[in-house]
Amino acid sequence: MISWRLRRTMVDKVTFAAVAIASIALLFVGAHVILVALVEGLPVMAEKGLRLFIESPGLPGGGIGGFGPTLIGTIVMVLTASLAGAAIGVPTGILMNEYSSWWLSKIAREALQLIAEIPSIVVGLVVFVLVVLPMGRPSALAGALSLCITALPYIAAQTRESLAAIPMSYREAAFSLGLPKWKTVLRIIVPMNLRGIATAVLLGTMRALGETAPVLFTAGAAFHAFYGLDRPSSTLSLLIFFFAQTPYENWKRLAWAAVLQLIVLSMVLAFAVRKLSGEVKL
Amino acid sequence: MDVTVKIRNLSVWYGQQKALETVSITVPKGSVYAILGPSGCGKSTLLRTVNKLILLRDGAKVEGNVEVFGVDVYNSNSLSDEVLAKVGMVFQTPNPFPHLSIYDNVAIGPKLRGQAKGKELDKLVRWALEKSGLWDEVKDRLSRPASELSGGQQQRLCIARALAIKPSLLLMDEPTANLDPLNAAKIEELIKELSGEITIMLVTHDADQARRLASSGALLFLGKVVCEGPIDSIINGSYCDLLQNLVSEHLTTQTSKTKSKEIKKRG
Ligand SMILES: Nc1ncnc2c1ncn2[C@@H]1O[C@H](COP(=O)(O)OP(=O)(O)OP(=O)(O)O)[C@@H](O)[C@H]1O
Ligand SMILES: [Mg+2]
Repeated sequence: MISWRLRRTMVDKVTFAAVAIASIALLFVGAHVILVALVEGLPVMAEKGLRLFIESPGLPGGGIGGFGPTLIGTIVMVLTASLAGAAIGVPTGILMNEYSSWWLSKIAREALQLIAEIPSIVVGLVVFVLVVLPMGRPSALAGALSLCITALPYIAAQTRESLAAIPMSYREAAFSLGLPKWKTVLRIIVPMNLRGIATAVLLGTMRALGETAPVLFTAGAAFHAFYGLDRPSSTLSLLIFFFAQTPYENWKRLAWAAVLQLIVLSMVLAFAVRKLSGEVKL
Repeated sequence: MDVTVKIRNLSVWYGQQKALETVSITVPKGSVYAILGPSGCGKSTLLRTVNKLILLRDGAKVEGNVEVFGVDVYNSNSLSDEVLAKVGMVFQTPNPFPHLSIYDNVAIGPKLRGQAKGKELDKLVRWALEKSGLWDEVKDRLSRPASELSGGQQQRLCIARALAIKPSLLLMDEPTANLDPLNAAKIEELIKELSGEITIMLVTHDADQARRLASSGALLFLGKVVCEGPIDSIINGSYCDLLQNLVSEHLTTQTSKTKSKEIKKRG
């Protein structure tokens, strides 16, 4: 019979091995994705240089061109979605945490829960029916709206959580100054937590940047020029989606360059989030 | 006698735990009122109940009457805001706002309340910092973050912050616990100076301090008022012996209770 001590060391070793293998596997997958993107995308970047960010895609089977118009479309849509998402999501988050027993707060909580649970492709379809069909065409605006709706629950929930994390002693200090509650919340509690709120908005931006499904039916597929807010446009994720499945080598290579670009943008945002949330001094 | 705070049959719970039980006290206007008692007896809870900060805590429940300047603060919401605007508080542990400078920590109250601005605000901030004995130490670094101050300096900053809103009732939870004797003496001086003008409810573990400053007070034990009245009637003799007696009395009544239960069981 195996002694108890031996069994314990064995279980210990096996658990350690399992965890180690799982972590290494995860690391491998992540590294693999980035490595492939680098291997496929870097040569294109080296070949095209800055023109990649300005030119529009080449003809099928022709030169690589660039994703300039799509980059503009991405920035315009993601930025619009983040700003609108912040304008609605931040006050909603404040409402949910500071006035949690109010009926409006409860409604907001339920509504956001609902939106968060809807698959993002359905959000795209709803915007398609409500905005794209009446307007008669997909547009950057419709795309931004879909992205905004997908990012909204994240921004609100994160805002709320960051407010809830304010230590009770600071909260008490704020409420001991004899101000009306709304003033205490807006002029002391919220400013105390600006970093947390900025982090919440950035997380929403990251979310909007990475989504493809919401813009599939709403943003259009205009890769060759940026025509304006109310006209068809495109995002990097859409470009990858469409160009990667074509048989043309030059378009596939452009898609890889877009993959690399998307990864870089996401990492920059992730870095900013980490820097911001790491520096919260409370 | 004018009364600033009148509390009747106040009970407070944190969730299931009872922190105060049928507390009744009367705080005369313009006096220093001491709240004494061993650690955990509910002194901070009592202060928090006066200005309703207790409601910030999830699951806190308040029963009974709390009148501040004649207004029942738990039953008339519109008036209670007005009354509680006259109440300042200094907390047991220093809690200056971490996102604000030394100056702004003191200025934010009067600024947001519209009590002063510009030169006038500067003067008010200076006055408050001088009163709390901090001015000389911070006058050259008013725009530095408050978190750079030492614990005792932070405590005095919080006293200045409370003074700056010019309260008519000041709740002070062990304001000198973090301070060296010199600075503690300055704060005692300040309390003396303020009394008469405003009402102060002072929580302290220092019986001599209570005797020096307060005219009346209450002794709490396990959430109940043991006695209330002129300060000499509460602590005559050694405070340490007094607490010792309270504890041993409590222990004997508890053991006799369990004994009688046992007897009942057997019977
Ligand atoms: N947030 C809370 N949740 C649950 N129980 C609490 C909470 N705050 C205080 N209590 C309990 O209420 C009782 C009274 O606490 P309180 O802080 O009022 O004591 P105190 O008299 O101020 O003690 P000290 O002299 O140590 O400051 C204690 O038993 C404490 O454990
Ligand atoms: Mg206390």
